[in-house]
Amino acid sequence: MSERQPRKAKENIFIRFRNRIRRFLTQGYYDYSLIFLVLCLCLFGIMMVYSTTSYSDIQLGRSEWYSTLKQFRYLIICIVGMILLSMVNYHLYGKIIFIGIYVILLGLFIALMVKGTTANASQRWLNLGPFYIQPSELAKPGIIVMLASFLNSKYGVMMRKQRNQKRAIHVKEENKKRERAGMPKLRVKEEAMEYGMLGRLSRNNLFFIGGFLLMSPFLLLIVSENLSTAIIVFLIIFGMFFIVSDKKKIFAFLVLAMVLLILIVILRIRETGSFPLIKDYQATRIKMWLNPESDPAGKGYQILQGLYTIGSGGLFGRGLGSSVQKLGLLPEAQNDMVFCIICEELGLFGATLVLFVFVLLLWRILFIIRNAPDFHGFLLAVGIFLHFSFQILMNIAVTTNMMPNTGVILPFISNGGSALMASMAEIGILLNISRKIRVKQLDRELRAVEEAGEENPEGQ
Amino acid sequence: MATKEPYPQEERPAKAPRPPYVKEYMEGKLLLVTAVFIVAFLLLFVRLVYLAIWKNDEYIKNVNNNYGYQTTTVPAPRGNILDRNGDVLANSNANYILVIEPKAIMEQDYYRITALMLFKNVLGFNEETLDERLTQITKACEDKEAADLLGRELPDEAKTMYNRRWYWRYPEYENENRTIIEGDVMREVQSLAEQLRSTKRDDKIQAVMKIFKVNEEQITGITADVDEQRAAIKKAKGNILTRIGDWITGAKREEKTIDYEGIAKKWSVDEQTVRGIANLSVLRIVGIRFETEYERDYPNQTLACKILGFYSPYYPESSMGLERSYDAVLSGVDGLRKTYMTEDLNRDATYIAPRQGNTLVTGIDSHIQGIIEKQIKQFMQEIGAENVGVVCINPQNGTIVAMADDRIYDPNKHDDLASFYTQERLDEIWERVLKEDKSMQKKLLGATPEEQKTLQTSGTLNYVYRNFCLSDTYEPGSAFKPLTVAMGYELGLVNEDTTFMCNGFTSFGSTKIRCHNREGCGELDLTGALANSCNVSLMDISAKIGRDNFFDYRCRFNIGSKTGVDLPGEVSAENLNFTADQLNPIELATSSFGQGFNTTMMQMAAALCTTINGGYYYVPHVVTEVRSPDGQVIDRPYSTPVTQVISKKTSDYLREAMYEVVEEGTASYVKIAGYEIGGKTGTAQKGNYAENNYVISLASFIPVAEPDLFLYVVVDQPHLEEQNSSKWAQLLSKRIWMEVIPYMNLHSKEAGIDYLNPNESGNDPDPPKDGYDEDGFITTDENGEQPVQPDQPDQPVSPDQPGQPQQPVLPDDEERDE
Repeated sequence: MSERQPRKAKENIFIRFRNRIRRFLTQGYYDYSLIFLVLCLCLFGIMMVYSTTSYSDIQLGRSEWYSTLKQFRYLIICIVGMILLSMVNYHLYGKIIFIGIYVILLGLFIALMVKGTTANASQRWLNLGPFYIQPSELAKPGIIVMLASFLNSKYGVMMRKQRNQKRAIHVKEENKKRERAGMPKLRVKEEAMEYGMLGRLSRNNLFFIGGFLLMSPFLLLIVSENLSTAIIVFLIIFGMFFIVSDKKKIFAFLVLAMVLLILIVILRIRETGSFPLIKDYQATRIKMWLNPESDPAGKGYQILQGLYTIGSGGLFGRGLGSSVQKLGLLPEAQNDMVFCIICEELGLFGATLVLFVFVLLLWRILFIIRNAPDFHGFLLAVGIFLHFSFQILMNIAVTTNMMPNTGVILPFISNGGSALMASMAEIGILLNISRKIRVKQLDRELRAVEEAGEENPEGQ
Repeated sequence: MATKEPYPQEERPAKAPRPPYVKEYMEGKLLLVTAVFIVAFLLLFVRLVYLAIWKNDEYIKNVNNNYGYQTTTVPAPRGNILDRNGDVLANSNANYILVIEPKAIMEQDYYRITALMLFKNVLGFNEETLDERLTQITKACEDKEAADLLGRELPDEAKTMYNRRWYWRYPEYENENRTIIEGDVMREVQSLAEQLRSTKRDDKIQAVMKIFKVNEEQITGITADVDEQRAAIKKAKGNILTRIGDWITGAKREEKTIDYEGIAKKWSVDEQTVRGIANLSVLRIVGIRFETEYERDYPNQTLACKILGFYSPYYPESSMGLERSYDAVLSGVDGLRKTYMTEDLNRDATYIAPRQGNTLVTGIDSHIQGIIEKQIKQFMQEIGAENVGVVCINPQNGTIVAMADDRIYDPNKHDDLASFYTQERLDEIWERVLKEDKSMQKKLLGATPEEQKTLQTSGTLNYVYRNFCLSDTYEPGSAFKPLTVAMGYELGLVNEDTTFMCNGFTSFGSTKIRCHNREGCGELDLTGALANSCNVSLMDISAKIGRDNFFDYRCRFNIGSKTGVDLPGEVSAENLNFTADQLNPIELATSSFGQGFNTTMMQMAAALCTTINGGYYYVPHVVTEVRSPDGQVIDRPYSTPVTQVISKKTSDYLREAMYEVVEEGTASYVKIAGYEIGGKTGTAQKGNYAENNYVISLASFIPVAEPDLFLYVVVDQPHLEEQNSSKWAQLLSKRIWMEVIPYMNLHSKEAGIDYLNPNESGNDPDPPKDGYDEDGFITTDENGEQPVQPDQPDQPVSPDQPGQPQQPVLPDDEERDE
């Protein structure tokens, strides 16, 4: 930055805080349309939570508002958390945070495993004294942040070196000219010269393997706990590596291999009913996906009821709140299957509208990706984009029986605190990235403000 | 928040939006991923459109089918069946069945306590066994979950338990062990549930007082104590900040719980009660409901069982009688109670009340029916026969007043024959079924012993359920003669003055058809021919009528086709009747006196009614009116005659002639002093003429001037060595008339009549039955003709009497083949 006036004496802390808030509100770009879309979805979610839980709450002898209020409290906390997180510079998610998150997540999962072995059924919830948390939901943003930081530090540094190498070559030539002309040489960093000798991205492969190795404990731990989260986490990791890497063939080969493997598994299970390493209940789910009518009252019940629920809504639905299937017929109506209830109550029209809002949300994220101020922001936004896309797609695919039944919730709409917390944290990170977007006009104004010396930008 | 610019500002590209280090290929790949997502979204959208539009109708149906669980069907009672005096012949009684839903009950501890207290204090059940059972089922559910997780099979016993997780009928699932609750008790439980659900504390306390058997003071005391302790516990637990602090420091606070035992001791109740009352505000009666079932009740037991039939709710197609033919009218429309919540959270938002089925008013007179059944029973005890059928019709409108045969059962427990039949009788019936039904024998051959047993049971039952009056055919014999006379009279071929000459037989080529009186009846006028039941005269008449007219009139009398009576199981006997082409002289001749073809009792009764009611053919029917449950008349079926077959003049003549038959002719046994009874006897030899088995019958009506009742009695093979006398049918008819006449307000001075001593009743010259036994049976010669009974006293005219058979008409088989 240009020349600065000497710092003024430290002001009162309140005035500084006020200035900070004022700056937050007036300076920089802030993606209000993203907030608007997210709030729309969240409030709609609250509505759906009320619609789907009031009946069962009363059946359980609680107030009809019990679950709704609980979810609403979570929402308030999450909105506050989102705004606070949007004020945290995403560049802080560096090495220290990386190790911190790594250790915490690993600890949570191991705690869960230990607890899971003592209990009879698989446990997704961890009782942490005053809180209940679902580690697998928190793992998603955690892994996105870790991976972004990892890729940025390794890949970004590598690219920076590559750039320096180019510059070094340029400097060398320039120096030769200057030498001939008898002019003084340009000063060049020695290290840059040194790195410039390295081949172009020669450590690419090594570093992908390293990345997968880093993430593998989580994948393994999550697989043992719930497969659906593991699939999503795997897809996020895979997608991020795919986008970042300049390789194409290897990824094409991997995707092809995976598709083939999945096909073989499905065909084998259809024929023989089992496959090595696939647990029985998972095989049953695949069988039910292929033919839910074969056991309409048992294993195929949820799928079939989900389809009936979607189909019975028709074009405009039964009307908000007048779902019949939520009255104890459709399992998980407030969680995984909430989209079915939307279809039943609001019809194809309402469901399309919800889908449209989701697409708008993804478009906003895409906008942030494309305008990210730097590589770290780009990586974070890509991770979050992949997460939301996969989650929404998988949820709707499960409800419409386009893929085997796995417990994936619909972001912002399904009932549940941990999931909402994770989603909102990611939105908070996105908002912070969006704040760093340099809008040309804004940039000029900012500079004008800076030059006027009225206020210090971030301390240097 | 320091942001180090990663590159010198002046190097930042002025316009390129791509952030530094984000390579072009990354954007390309991102675009690829985005494209894949867009395609995926489009696919899902198409799938949604397919589900929501193409599959809409089908899935709405499926969802509506789910109502079965969400909503309860309220069964509708069936309509009543009344007799012509308005007495109930069949009605529906409500049964309330207790259904327990363990899963719901075990959801909360206080639900369980409330339910158990309700069982104990209100319903009076053994709460401990119920509690044990509930626990077992819940454990089975948990086991099932664990087994599913481990991929193991549940043991059978646990599986049965698990399958009862939704509901079972106390004390056992099986239907016969269900608990039927009194209506009052059910309503009390329902009102208690309502009170508990109420928001008013007073209502709740009232309900709790009844369920837990405690008084108001105890309730308020217990709730106050519990609240106090709860507040103390909350205080001890601390707020969330202290809890976080505890969690961090690892300090453990003493866990305080409510001292239920102490409170229970203080208020001298048991601990369970305290645990229940502690949750007063959320106390509900959950998982206990009642199913209403209607049971068909026939208050008169066996009375009119063949007409009413029975209703089997699980297999309506196997119902019998009126219950079957009027099933659509009798069955009501089931109601629905949807127990889900609406937007304003009302329970029972919609209740479609069940609609009772319509009431059938029948023309049956319970009293006459009772008399007839009693007399048949008595006849069967004293004489016995293969079959006895009695039909009593009001000839003026074709309404069946009574109908019965000798095979009775109780429609209330229609499977149970043991209370009416001895085992020997049942075996006898089974032998008869086997004899009649050749296909049954074939079925038996290829069946296991168990299947044979089932076949035997069902075969016997079906035989007992069969209505002889509708489903069995026989040769009517002389009872058909009035119809032949009616044809001739109607056509103007004969009249009162026509005379016939009977010399014992009529020849058709080489075939001689004899009159029952082998020596000939001499010269007879038309009335005399009927009164003497002279076959030769009748053959003369039929010859005059001719083939076409005879066939035409036979069809108009509806002989050989179903009458259309409103009862199931009627047969037409169409194949057992001559077609117009087959009515060659001999067939025509035998037909004239009712041999050679078969009819049912119903056909004969309907046709004979026509000859005495002015010539109108009415479809015989049981039901006269269909009323809605509130008493409005909806329908009067069969109220008009179908057609007029013969003129009033013919009918008037026939009534007089049949009066003569009773006064001076063959039917004199039925004569009751002081009453004008008309009638016609019938004695027909059965199928194989050599066997000498007879169907004897009597059609009679009263009073002659304008008949109110027509009675047709058929006795198939009376268990006598000497069968060929219509005397037994006449005496049975007489016994019936003797009881019916006073009931009809026609007073009689006659004393009782005895089968064994008919002489005592006045005008019967026939010797007592003992005489026959002493004299032995009547021998039959080679031609199947029977010699004249030497002891036969000289009666006025008794061609149907023993020793003077109207059969055999066809002396031997060769002749018959012609």
